[in-house]
Amino acid sequence: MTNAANRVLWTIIGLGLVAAGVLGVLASQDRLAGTDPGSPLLWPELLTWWRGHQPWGTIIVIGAGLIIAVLGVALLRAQMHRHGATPIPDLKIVGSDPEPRGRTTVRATALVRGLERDLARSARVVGATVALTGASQHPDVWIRLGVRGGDLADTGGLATLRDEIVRILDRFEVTSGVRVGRLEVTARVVSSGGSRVQ
Amino acid sequence: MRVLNRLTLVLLAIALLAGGLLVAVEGALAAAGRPGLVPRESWYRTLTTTEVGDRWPLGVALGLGVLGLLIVGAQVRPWIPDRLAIMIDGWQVQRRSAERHLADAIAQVTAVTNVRATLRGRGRRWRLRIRAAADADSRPAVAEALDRALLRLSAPIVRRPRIRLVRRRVT
Repeated sequence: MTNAANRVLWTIIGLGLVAAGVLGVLASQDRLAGTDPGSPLLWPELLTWWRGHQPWGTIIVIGAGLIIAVLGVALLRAQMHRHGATPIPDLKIVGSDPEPRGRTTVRATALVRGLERDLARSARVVGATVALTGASQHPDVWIRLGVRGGDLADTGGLATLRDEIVRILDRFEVTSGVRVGRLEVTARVVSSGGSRVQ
Repeated sequence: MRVLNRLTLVLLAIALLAGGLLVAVEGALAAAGRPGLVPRESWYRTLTTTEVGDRWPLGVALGLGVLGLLIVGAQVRPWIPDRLAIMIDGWQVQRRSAERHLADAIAQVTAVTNVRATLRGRGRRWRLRIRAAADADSRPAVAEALDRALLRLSAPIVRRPRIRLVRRRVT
């Protein structure tokens, strides 16, 4: 889930809490039609009902618990995908020769690490984090680059760094056989330190 | 806020997972007539004997409402952008690092110290404020250093950056 999606989700949760709070206060102050402040929070006959509806009562409770747990897992997984898109699956290449037909699997993580290493090899780059999402043959590429700020002045700035990144991505396409779809680069300029800045 | 949102959602996800499993296990234990992991019976007794109009349900409702208001407020409030677009398609710079880079560049000018750069805006509309300790006659040099640094970042044209120079304290 992206930051924007998280913001929307928290807004919805917040509005839900506000609504629950308002309804609760109204009910407790006898201002809500259909409720009685003298009634118990939980229906006292619940236990009798539950015992009278076995095994369905148990099945409903266990099912509800499992659904909540699955929702938790889904939310956890969604938080791992920061770009809101799923990472590419492993790349499967089937040989074109009829006999013997070869099959090669390239791990998605191998592609990611390879591209990260190639980017980090540039003298102007301090570190690179790559995410590949979408289809494995045609992935969208998300790059976070640490850029040496001290060198920017001597090397012509981010515009020339862009040319170098394009060359690296060309190389990536040739070696891996995939075609880069959308490209998103976030540059973090790393200052060389020691300056008189607060 | 972005990091906090993600962290709290991860915690919420873990709570959902643990809570859901606990409900399922409790359901199975109750059906088997075994004692549960939580004091089910005393909770049940409390919930069936407490009335909606009692003091603590009101407190819980108030608490939930206030928590919800705080959450909505924090989300709706405008956020300072984390990244800003530059003139290269698909490229962005991290705002804080760009601020530091601009401040560093201006601090290279002779007799200019304590530079602070504040970058705001959205996408390719940048708004820039510079504050530095320098004499007034350093202004052209500061502006030139700023222009050069912006060019290095392939920044969009910043219309009228606000440069404020305060007199240096002589120590």
